[in-house]
Amino acid sequence: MNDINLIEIPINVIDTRSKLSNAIDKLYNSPDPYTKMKSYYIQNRRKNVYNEKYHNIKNKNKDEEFEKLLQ
Amino acid sequence: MKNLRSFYNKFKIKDLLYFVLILPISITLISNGACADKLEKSNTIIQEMISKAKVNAIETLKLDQNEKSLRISLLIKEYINLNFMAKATTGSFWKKATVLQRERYKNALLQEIVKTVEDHLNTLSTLNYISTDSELRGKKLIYVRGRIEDPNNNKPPVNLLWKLASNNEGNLQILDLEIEGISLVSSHKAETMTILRKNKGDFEVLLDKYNKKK
Repeated sequence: MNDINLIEIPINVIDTRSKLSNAIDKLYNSPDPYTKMKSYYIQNRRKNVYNEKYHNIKNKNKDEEFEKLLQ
Repeated sequence: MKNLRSFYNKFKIKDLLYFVLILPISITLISNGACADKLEKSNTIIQEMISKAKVNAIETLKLDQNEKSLRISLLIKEYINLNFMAKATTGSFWKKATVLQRERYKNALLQEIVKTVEDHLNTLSTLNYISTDSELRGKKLIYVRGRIEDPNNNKPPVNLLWKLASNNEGNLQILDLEIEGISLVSSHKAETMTILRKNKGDFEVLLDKYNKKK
């Protein structure tokens, strides 16, 4: 049973990596892969960590920026 | 005082009622109707784009990658406000770019957007898109929320948020798309701004980087 568990973890890691291979390749093909990955990571963390109120304020700021650009 | 009294006498109770009650109510009803109409239109646009993407995914199954990308880029171009996205992703550096550089950047940005979303659009033929709600934000923006679900429950649902606004011709177009809280414009902006800042706003360097990665 322990042996199966030992094998399961690396197999899952390889499986996840292969599922994401297309997305990772595309990321490497962008002009600045590091900044892009950083931006994705930060946005994802913000979504998971902060509550609805924070996102509303953040979106309000973005809306103002968008409205200015639309003028 | 006399003038005030005569004005008061001239004013019938019916007119007063009209100004105090009926006029504000009718204004509110008309503006609410206009808002509802705008929200309905936004929802229809997104639904229309999704169904076109589904048809496109089925039709292009046997085509080669370049042709698939070309078909998707034409579809995306029809629905997004590329001019706005180019401005939003380059910030204050947009003013420094020449007309030719702006056009070249818009093309490069479109290709980047196609690269980012084409795989997802191609898998749409087997998934369901469900519109959840829409909301009017500020004077011009409209948020449309939706979810992509796998009918076989093999994949977890993906939450989408579309931001739309009317362009100069009055047509509603997509300004930004958030997939599970990750904004397309924000991530492109982070990338382009870093390159532009490093190179003192030189668009040629940015465009070279896009061309090299093609």
